[in-house]
Amino acid sequence: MNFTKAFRLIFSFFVKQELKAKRLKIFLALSAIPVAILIITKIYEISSPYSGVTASEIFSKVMFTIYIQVMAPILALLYGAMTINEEVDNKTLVFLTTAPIPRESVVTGKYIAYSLIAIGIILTGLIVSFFTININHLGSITYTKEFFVLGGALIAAILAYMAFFTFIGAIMKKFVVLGFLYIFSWESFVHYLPGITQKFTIMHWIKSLLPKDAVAEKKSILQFLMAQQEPSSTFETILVLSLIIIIGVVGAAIIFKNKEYIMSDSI
Amino acid sequence: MKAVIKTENLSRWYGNVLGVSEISLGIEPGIKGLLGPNGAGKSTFMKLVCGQLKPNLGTITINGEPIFANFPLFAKIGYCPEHECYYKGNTGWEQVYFRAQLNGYDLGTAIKKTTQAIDRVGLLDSKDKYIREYSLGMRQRLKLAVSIVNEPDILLLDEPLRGIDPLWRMRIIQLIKDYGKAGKTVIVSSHVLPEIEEMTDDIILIHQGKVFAQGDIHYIRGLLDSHPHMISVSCTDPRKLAGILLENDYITNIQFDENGKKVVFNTRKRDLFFDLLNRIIVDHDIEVTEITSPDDNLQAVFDYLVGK
Repeated sequence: MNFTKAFRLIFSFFVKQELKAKRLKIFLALSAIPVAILIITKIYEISSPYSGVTASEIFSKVMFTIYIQVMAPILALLYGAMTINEEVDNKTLVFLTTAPIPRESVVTGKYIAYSLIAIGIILTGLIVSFFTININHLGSITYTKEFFVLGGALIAAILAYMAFFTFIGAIMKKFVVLGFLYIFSWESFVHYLPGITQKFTIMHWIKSLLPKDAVAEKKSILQFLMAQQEPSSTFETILVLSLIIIIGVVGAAIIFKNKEYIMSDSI
Repeated sequence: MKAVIKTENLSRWYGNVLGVSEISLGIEPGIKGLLGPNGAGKSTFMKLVCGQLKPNLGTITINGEPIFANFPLFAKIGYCPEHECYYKGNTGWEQVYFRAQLNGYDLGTAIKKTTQAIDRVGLLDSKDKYIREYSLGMRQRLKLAVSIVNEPDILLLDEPLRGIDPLWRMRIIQLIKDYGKAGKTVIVSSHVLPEIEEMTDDIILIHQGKVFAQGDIHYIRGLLDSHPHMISVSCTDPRKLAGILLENDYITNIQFDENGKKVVFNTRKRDLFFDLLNRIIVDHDIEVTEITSPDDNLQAVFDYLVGK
């Protein structure tokens, strides 16, 4: 069977599998927590208009940080780790690798399937958040530009982090703890360092997708995210993110094609 | 007949642990029994044949082609692994159908092949149940359905009868024999000699990663018979039983336990011993509560043969 047909089969199978999986409900529930906070704030804002706390403020100062800096990398880590390692752990790898399909189609098909699911989870939260802050003035919707920019940045974040973690998953087993350490140490702090160092994080490139005027103009709701940010040009950002995605996925596929995955019962 | 599967000095190890060592074989169409105790290297051998593992040394080919990651070749192979291998959220039908799709069949053919495979293992009535609701025997039969859905020329079955009830055991054995008769190459691994004996006369004995012997199963039976057997009998009067049996020269040793309720015989002619034991029990009206043969397993036989 050729790569394209195998890729389609793997992709559709794993999308269906994931839609039935319990963990999807857990991920959705976790992604709903910030939304719930926003809804409660909005209710409070409407009922006590002079309290000084607004849902828009929460959206700009908390939600963006949570979605971009926490949820996108974590979802990408968990799904990226699962791409290969869940097949090894559940011993279903044999089912796929004894089928007459190119091995590369397994990694790429699963990568795209899980990316789509992760993007779906995170965008659902973002869309609900967006409508929540605008619920009492739907005639004059605000933050439309930020909504689309943030949506695009989140999609890029999922694709880039997923590619990175899928690549790591092709090389290493059980790296989720290490992945969390990486997200909450290297990625979280190094991208705040001035100079070239911040370019060694994926987060730098994701944040470079956000409007550049957010740095200069303190008015923007995105400025909170941009502290110490020395954004790269859009062209450079798109190029680097594309390279991260391509190298990650192609690299993982090549490793998976040539590597033996030894299961405990092999002898 | 031309060998379909060929190995030359095939060796595979995991760190310091030996899987298989210097195996040189030519396997022709028909059923080949791969027999050996647990940990002998049977599963490693199977995984090398189905292209899951690479040899560390030596070569393995199917029809002259190397196997590892040679995916077009996999269309001709059916592999039933020893371990469970299914997607938890699937029904039996979905699992087999997905495999049929991965074999490149169009929709109609995939449905037809899936139905046939599921029917052959008797799961048609339960095809829409979730696999997690299947019994161990049903899951085992489902694995078999997955391995035969592409009607392979080479069928590799690693402990295929584990957990299957007696009725289906007979039917699966017949299914395997039918594959052999159809000129397919079938390798069945097991650590249970009688299981293999029911399917084929042609066996490979594997122990500690090496091929210990291969050929006709009667040769192995002969080895088994030459192995001194230990037979333990618990009865009302062990001394009386021992006294009667003592006259026979094929009993080499007799031991009583401390409680005087059990006697252990050592014999080199197990079948003759059991014939005689049955007659004595009936003729002398001895009430027997238990007869066991503690060393009547492949591991014991192999240990004996290796030591010899």
